[in-house]
Amino acid sequence: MKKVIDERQEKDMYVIEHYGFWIAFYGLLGIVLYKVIAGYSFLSFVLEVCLLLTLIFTIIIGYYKKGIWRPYAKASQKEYIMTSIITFMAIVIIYLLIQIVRKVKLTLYLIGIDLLLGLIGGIIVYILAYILGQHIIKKE
Amino acid sequence: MKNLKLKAARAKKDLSQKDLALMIGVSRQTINMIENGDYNPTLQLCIAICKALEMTLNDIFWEE
Repeated sequence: MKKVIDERQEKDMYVIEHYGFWIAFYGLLGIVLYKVIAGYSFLSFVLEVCLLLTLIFTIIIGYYKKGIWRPYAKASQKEYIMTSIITFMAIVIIYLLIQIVRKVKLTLYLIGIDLLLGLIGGIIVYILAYILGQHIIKKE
Repeated sequence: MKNLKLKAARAKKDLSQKDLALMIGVSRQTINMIENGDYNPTLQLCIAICKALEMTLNDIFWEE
């Protein structure tokens, strides 16, 4: 089908779609986080999780294919460490919020478990970020 | 930065923005935005404009 818009309009359209995508992405992320923290059963939001993962993998694979790490930085050790620290903090905060919302008594043992899970998540993400980042550097 | 060379070349050919837009298959707003410096056209579009106005890329898009 022949396009009836010119290159400028197409570019404008991409910008609009870009904003639409990120609104949908963060909206979906917010919904999933809310349902996780509020204690909904996983089956009640499995579709949202699948959709969110689809968006995440689309972005990661697309960036990887084009040799892009992220728009504001190139792949480096600093970036991998930063990504893993953010993951660590996100996991710990989410687990703490879940326990606070569900009125679980926060003991040193539970906080330790939260920190351990955060640490494991951080290490896994560091390894994945390192592998991805090194491939992106090679593509560059 | 405004592209006065494009505006002058178009006026020299006695073409309106709409006429030029129709010749190269873009919208009038696109021509207006290029002339006002609000949009950087692709090389492909620059060439189409130059061909329509019978001028070279240097004549219209090269800044001194």
